[in-house]
Amino acid sequence: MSVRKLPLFVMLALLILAGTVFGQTLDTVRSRGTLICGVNQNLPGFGSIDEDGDFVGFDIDFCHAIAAAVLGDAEAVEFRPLSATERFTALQSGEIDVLIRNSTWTSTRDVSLGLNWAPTTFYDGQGFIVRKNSGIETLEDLDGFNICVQTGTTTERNLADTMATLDIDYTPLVFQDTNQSIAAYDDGACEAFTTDKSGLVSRQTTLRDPGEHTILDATISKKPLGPAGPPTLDATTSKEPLGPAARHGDDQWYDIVKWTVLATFLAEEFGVDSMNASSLFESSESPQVRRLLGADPDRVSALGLDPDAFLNAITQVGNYAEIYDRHLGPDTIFDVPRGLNSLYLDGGLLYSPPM
Amino acid sequence: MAAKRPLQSRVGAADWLRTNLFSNWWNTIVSLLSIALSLWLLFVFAKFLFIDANWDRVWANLRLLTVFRYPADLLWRPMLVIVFLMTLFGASAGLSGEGTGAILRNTFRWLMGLIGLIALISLFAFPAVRIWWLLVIVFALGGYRLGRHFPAPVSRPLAWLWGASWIVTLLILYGVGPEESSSPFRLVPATLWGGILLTFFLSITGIVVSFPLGIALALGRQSRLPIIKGICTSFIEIVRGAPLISWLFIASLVLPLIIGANPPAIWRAQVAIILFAAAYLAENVRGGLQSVPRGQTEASRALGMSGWDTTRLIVLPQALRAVIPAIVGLFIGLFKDTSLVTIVGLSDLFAVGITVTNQPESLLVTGGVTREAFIFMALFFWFFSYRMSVASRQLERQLGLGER
Amino acid sequence: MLRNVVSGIQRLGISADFGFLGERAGFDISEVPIPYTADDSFGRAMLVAIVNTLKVALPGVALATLLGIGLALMRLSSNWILRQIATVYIETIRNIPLVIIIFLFFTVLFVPGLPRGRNAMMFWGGGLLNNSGWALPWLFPGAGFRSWLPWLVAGLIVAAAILVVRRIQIVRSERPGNPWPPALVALALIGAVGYFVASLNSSYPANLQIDFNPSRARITSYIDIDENGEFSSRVDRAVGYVPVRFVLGAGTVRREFPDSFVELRRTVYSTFRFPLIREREVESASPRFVDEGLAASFGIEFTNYPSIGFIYQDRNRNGSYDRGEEADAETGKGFDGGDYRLVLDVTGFERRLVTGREGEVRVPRFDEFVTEPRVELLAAAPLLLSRPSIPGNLSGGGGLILTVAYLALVVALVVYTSTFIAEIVRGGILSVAKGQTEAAKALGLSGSQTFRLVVFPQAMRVIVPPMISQYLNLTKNSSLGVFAAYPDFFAVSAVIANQSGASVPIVLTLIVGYLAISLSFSLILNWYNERVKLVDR
Repeated sequence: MSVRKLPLFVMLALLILAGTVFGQTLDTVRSRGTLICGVNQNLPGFGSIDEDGDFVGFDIDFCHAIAAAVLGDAEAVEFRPLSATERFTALQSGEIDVLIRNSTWTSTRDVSLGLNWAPTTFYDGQGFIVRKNSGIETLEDLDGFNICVQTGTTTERNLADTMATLDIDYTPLVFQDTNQSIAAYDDGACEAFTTDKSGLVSRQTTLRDPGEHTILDATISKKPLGPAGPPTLDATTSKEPLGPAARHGDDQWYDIVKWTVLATFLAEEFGVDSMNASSLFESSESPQVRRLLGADPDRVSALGLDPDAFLNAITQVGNYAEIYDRHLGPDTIFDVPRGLNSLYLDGGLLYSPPM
Repeated sequence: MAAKRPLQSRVGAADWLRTNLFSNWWNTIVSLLSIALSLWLLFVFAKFLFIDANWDRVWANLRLLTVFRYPADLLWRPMLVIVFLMTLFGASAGLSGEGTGAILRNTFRWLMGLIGLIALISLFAFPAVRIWWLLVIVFALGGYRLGRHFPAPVSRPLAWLWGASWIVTLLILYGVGPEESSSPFRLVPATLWGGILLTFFLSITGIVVSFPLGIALALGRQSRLPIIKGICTSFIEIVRGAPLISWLFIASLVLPLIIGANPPAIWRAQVAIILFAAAYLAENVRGGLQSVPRGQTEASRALGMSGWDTTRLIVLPQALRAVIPAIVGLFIGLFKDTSLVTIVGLSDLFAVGITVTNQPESLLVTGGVTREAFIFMALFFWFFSYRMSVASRQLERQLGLGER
Repeated sequence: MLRNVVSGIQRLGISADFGFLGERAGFDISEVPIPYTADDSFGRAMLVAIVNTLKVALPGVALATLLGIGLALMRLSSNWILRQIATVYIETIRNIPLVIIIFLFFTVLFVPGLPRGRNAMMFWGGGLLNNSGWALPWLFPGAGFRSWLPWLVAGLIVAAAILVVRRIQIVRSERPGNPWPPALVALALIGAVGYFVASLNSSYPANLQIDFNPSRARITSYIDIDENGEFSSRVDRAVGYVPVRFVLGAGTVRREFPDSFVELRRTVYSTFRFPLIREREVESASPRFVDEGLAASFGIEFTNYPSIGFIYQDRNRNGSYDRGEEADAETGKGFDGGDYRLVLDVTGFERRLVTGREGEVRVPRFDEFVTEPRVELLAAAPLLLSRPSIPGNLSGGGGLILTVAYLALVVALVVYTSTFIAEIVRGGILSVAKGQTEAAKALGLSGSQTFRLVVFPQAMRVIVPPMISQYLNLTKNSSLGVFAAYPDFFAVSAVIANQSGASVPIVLTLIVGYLAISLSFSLILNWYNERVKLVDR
């Protein structure tokens, strides 16, 4: 068969299978009775599977929160583990309702991949981990060295962009699996390992000698990027906003995902948590709290949800601080400082519009 | 060769050593070096296996590794499948005669040994399924007796049961009722299947479904109609031209985009596996078809049989008989290749192994548990593939294929 | 209906045309056999990936054949233990999935098992092996290569002519003879003369431009490879080099510390590959102390980054530089608490490797003492031997570099495929009837002659067809390189699909690419198969 005819053949085969219909996501989820959530099963702290087969992690809890808000039951979630390369296709094709898989919000993905990002649940930045005694202090010091990086990630692309801007020559060692990359770094196959800083912090504890390593700020650069002036932050390298993503074209569903995330911020801000939410629902006089918990029902109902949607989400899953501490806080092996992921009142970036 | 053996045993160990290991100075050096090397490797491996390795995480995750997230209260269903299939297998083994049948019986015996071992372990370690493993033994042996002592009444229903076995298995694993209920027959979506269960399911379904498809393709390739011949030939060559991993990727990436519907990932991967296996199987069958002497066809046509009857009754049976070992080989390859479905997000044994190494608790183990997880997986695959390849070789010898 | 499908795809925000091939790729690839940067197009990235696949497949096929034949002979050996080892090896390896074997070699054996970074294993002749890869001494075409090429072509033509003439003569004379030796001698002679003549013809490469950036302490050299007047640094990884020496100047720098000082006197120059690698610096430095007696216990190491040097003291005087023997980087103190004055003399070009990496002294940048850079051409030999030089960072040094991902993938593929090849070869040898061997023996042929002239040619007939499919399998299996971080055709296509979102065209490219590779392979091999058959009948 000639190669030129091949596209025709494939098209012909595809024709037979054609016929695309998308329903409204909220109705689909309601009638299905479960939320299908695309997640990562191999990122400790954010998404992993425990011995009993249950998904656990920071991202996972946001799936639970959305399920609680939409269906009233935090457990009504079906998790779909996805690899980095197939995650967006799964969302586009309608295989999953929402993607919460440490995915960075970028303009390309937002615009041309047909995705909508809900507010960022975790502000991250790309970092580099190096050995303290390696003498590497800036990106320029990495010149000529191997850098371990994971494939199919924005990290990979940012690395290339930044290094090209700085005219630094390096060899990327690209891995399919984070475990492999960190092991390769620990074994010295690379001088540095780069991924989101949160990932670095959580992985540092797993290295043979955690104390011998240090996390570089990827943004430290001796060479001014602008025409003059002091070293500036390199925007493309440092920003990694991770958050839930929904499909283009279903605004109602996107609003629901967005406001469920915002509700966890608001709850932390107002001091509402899983323990006191029910009693505050009864007794609180603060109009803001009453609106959030659905005691004044119109705001939540406008989303197409039951009035007690966010009450359910907070009672069953918790506010942002509870979710964070459960998986990344000081009592876990990761102990990632809140940093940018604090409320705006504490100098962080978590800020919800009023409800 | 065979004639020499008793002679050797009579002349004793010293002579055996001299002829086989130390016949001249060159052989002596080679032998000594090889023995030293093997002992050292054995030592290194054994030391890791029994002293350095930390098997706690693998042990704790045994459920994930075997059935993944199949609900804990429904474990009896995969067990029921094993009971069902082993009973059928036992009956077939009991029924089988000498020659090729002996190979079936050997395989049955080997499987029973394995099951006995698992039953013994689960007796102490896994209370949830220990009754079921004992049931497997009872039913399998019962089936064997039945087949052995009542061959005539058993054989026909047995054939029917085998024919229905794939559907029955699927029914038991999937269930019928709505998913939310707590009913023991409730639906278990395929996304919860994984581990060894999925590895077996994908490979067995792959070979079973691709079998008729492969034969059809092989016959189509021999067709006199240029369109059919062209389609079959290009299908076979295109599919065989690219690696399985790319077909899996294509199935997962492009299919849902274009058909709009979202078949679960497991079925997309399964379709890729089936089509891939069918293309290879077609080539094997074609080899078999070509090996059937021309005279056979001519003779049956002379007897007044139709073309289709000739193919169905004369050519195909002979061709298939000739390619059985090749098909077993294909199945072994498929069984091993299912480990590639991890690339499309399915949780077969290989993917679960990686997940286990990524649990927060596994990260706490010094040096991680990657080595342990991989040795576990390697041993599993080796165990079954090796046994199948032994059976395949016996089959080859029985069918006298080597002696053409 | 066709429109339906296309619009369905477009509605999903995914383009169905091949325009993406021209877009900027924006990601780096760890192995670039042909020039490539993130600024190149997706199409070029794909081309790089295809070359990477071939780079694994071709040596993989050759090595797997060798190992397979070795294993087959072991299985047929009269030595019991050899037979057993081969059998156990074959039965173990062929029954484990290839993915697991790749993972075992890469993640379990090579990366943690090979020596790390600077502790690289050194081989006789200058090879270096550590867990980032294996650097081998390698011959690259030099500046004189172009003038040598006509000689080589002439040599080949003459050799071919001799071969044909001798063959005819041998057939006519009806006596056994070998036409090869005279042909090879002629080729070697013409080649050697040409090599000598080409070496004499030394001239400064006109298409070379040097850019020196004192603030970055970095030299960039550009080569106008198309000779169109445009210089780009894109070809910086090209092979082939001529030693060009840059003399950047010499000077002494004194750095004051609160209670000591370090004095550095450097003549900085570097040899470049041509077409050049971006920068090369001082490869080694030898310390000279004001108090000469102490010098023996110190080691200095320069990384390939010019502004950093490491300094060690062998405090226990056991000949090695151990952990804990640190110098204070800030003050230059810390050697026995003493205060030493040292002069780093880097005019010598001795390759001294110092293992260990403790204290560190920052060496001032070039700009403090650089005079006018100047370029000298050292030699124009047609072939140049490049040796690995830097144990810590292989890619910064010379030689041919095989990355650890590549090694793991090739080794795993070879180990796995060889088991199948061994069984094919063994079957082929056994298929030759015993009577053939006996007849050959009776005719007075020796054991090796029997094998070479009687058994082997007949076995080939049985061996070649299944061998072809094994070769194709190996090629297709190289797509599992994604599990060893190797950027092969499949891995890069998956990345492009993710970055560009153009799934459908990429899928088509993937199929067509693999088909093309498979088809061209099987065409060549089937042609060989026909030849074997004809020779035999």
